[in-house]
Amino acid sequence: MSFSIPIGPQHPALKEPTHLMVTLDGERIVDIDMRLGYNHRGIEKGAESRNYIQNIYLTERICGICNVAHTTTFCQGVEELLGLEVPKRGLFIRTLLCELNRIHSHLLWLGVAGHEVGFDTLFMYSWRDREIVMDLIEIISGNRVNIAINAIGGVRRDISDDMRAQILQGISQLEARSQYYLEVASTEVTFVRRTQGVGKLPKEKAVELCAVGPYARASGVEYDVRKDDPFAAYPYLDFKVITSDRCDVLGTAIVRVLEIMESCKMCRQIIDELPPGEIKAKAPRKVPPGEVVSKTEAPRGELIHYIKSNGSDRPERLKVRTPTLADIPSVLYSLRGGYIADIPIVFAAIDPCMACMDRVTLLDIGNRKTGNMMTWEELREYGIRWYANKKG
Amino acid sequence: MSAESDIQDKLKEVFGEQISELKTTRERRVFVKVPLPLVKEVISYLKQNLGMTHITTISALDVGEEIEVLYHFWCCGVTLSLRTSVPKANPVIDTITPIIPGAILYEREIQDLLGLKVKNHPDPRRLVLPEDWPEGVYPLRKDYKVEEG
Repeated sequence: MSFSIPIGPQHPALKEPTHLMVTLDGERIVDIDMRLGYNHRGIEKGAESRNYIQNIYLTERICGICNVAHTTTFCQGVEELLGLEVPKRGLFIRTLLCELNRIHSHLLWLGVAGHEVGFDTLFMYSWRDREIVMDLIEIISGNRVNIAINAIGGVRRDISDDMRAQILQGISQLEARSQYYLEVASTEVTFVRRTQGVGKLPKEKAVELCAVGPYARASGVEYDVRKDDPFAAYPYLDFKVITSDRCDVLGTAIVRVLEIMESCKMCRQIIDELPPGEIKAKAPRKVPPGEVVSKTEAPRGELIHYIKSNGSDRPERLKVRTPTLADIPSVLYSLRGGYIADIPIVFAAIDPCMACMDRVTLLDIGNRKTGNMMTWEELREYGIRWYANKKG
Repeated sequence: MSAESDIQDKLKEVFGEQISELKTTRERRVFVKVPLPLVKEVISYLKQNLGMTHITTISALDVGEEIEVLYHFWCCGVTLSLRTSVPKANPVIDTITPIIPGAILYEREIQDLLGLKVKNHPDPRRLVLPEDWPEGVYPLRKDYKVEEG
């Protein structure tokens, strides 16, 4: 006898709203169906009534975690429509931020994966180390999450010699930590036993269902937009496409950790070879009629924007396909036949995009002093004081 | 020979005058226009003869009397965008999911947002619009106006 249970749209195991209908035979999943759209915000329609400059900031808000991937895809598409050549230094800085973005996203994922298998120590460790890369992103852009680095024609902020030294130091720390995580992901019994052979996705299925990103690469599909359809400064960089033939959740973890290490290598190369010159070319506001297919490799995989322009300062149409949608058919396939208890970790294997947290801006309403920003040190001291008072 | 011109030549050789607007806009970007009844045949040909398996997405846009549909494929190291036009008066296209299974959600998406009817689709339910969204209202058509408050 089988029975069906609904999971979501609101459920403690889900990080953002979606709906699963799971048909079970005992503990085994016989069938699974998914209902999407609870987060549909009409961004494609919204883009048609905003100009290209405003749309950079709109596309940035499609996803907080991979915001650099979205603005890069959008900006390089518009640059192609304009026939605008971006200065090499601008491309290098753009690529640096793409890679830092990937490192933070993968570390975030590693923490979530640890949490989903009940290994919260890994979650605490990797999110602590994620702060290293968040600090680097903040040093360069002034922000932690939505960093607004991209502009049509280049980037908005330059990198000073001082920053270069700080970035190199941070990268060294991250490299050492990812070496440790590689050991944890591939040998730690708590993690391996919960992920090995779980959420099997054979290579043929990954190809057939058009899976993308680290999830597909963990099933041996060697497809990475950075290598296969290079953009920004990737043609100048020396890196490997990481794949695994494990075809399970453990494979996705190992691929992501190794990708962090490759990203660190790329960041180092960018810093060492950063070309001199301008960071941004001047772009006109109106874009001549045309159409463009712009692709990048976001942390979760192949990302595409199709932009059609009509000669005005607003796009005629902006179509976006994020990598999570591309991975849904494959993840549903890999859940079938598995255990109900594995749903959270198998689902997490595609790294479904979830809402991100931003930094704290405290408003001191009691004293009517609004907009009172705190430095990192002040915030830390405030936290210590708050807990001390609460305890005492 | 470059991959771009290779694809163009093969398509021209097999489908001749039936296909049009064949162009390479830049490295790794090829566009081609295919009449609606020929879409499945061209896709089957690309799959069988050029090993194309990956669809990136399907873009659809309202261009007045017609809806333009672009299938973006990854084929021999090239992003191939296959374009076709569907009259708005009878917006019916045939499904390509049996040929390229990865297209299943993208076809459901354009049904919701542009009001295309995908014939023979294995699972034609709504994808992104809510259950209580009115029938016959398609938000990405140009006649649908957003009231911004």
